[in-house]
Amino acid sequence: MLHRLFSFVDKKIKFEKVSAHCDIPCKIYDPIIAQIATLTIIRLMDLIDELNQKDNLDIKDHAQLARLMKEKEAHGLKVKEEVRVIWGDYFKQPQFDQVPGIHDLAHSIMLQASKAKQGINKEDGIKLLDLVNQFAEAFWVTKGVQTFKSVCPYPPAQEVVYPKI
Amino acid sequence: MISCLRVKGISMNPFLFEGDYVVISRISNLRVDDVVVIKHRIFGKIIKRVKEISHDNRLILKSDYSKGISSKQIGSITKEDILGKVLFRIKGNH
Repeated sequence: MLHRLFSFVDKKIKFEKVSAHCDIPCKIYDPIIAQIATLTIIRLMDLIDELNQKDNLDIKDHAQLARLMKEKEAHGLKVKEEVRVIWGDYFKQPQFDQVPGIHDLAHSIMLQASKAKQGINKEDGIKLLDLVNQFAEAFWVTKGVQTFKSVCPYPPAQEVVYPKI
Repeated sequence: MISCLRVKGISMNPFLFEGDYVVISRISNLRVDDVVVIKHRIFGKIIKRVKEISHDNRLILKSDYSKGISSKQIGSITKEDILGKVLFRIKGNH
């Protein structure tokens, strides 16, 4: 009955609302997608380099090269998108306080991903992976989850930061 | 000053449910387990439970419901951020 009375008064004078805020915007954040996209870039660079070792490229090789470049471009964009979403949507002030270097790191990833998209130098891909791994480590720090490094069990067989879950 | 607010959301379940009302008042002495309403710079006006009070009077808050925003996300808050302590609740039909 008391609640009914309050509801009646609420309708008349409109009490302020206070949020018992729920952490479910249904967005799942995980840097692994960015990490796998970066591994893909490196792998594609390896495949491009294999073609580059040939003396002559026939039409099939040219078609393959076009596909490899297109996929490398797409995965470069994916890395940027995944990092941008985690940095822009997940990270809030409490997380920025925990990992204050995250702004510079996110910006470095944007620049390095562009470099990896534009060229075929494997070192640019490796450097991107190093930055994305750092980003992953920072992300898991904010989740209170420890991480470990291990070489991924498939080409390009590079070291990846994984969460200890 | 006393004020009345309507609860929105589920992160203080089972103590508070959506649609419940709370009456709050500014109180100087807060204790662990008190339920307070604060003005948070990111989350706005939220209602949480006091988890810890540090030696320099900063408060750590928590949600009662495990899926609510965490203490880490809220960060520590000062007494100036507190709008009031819940004196009593008026529960709806759940």
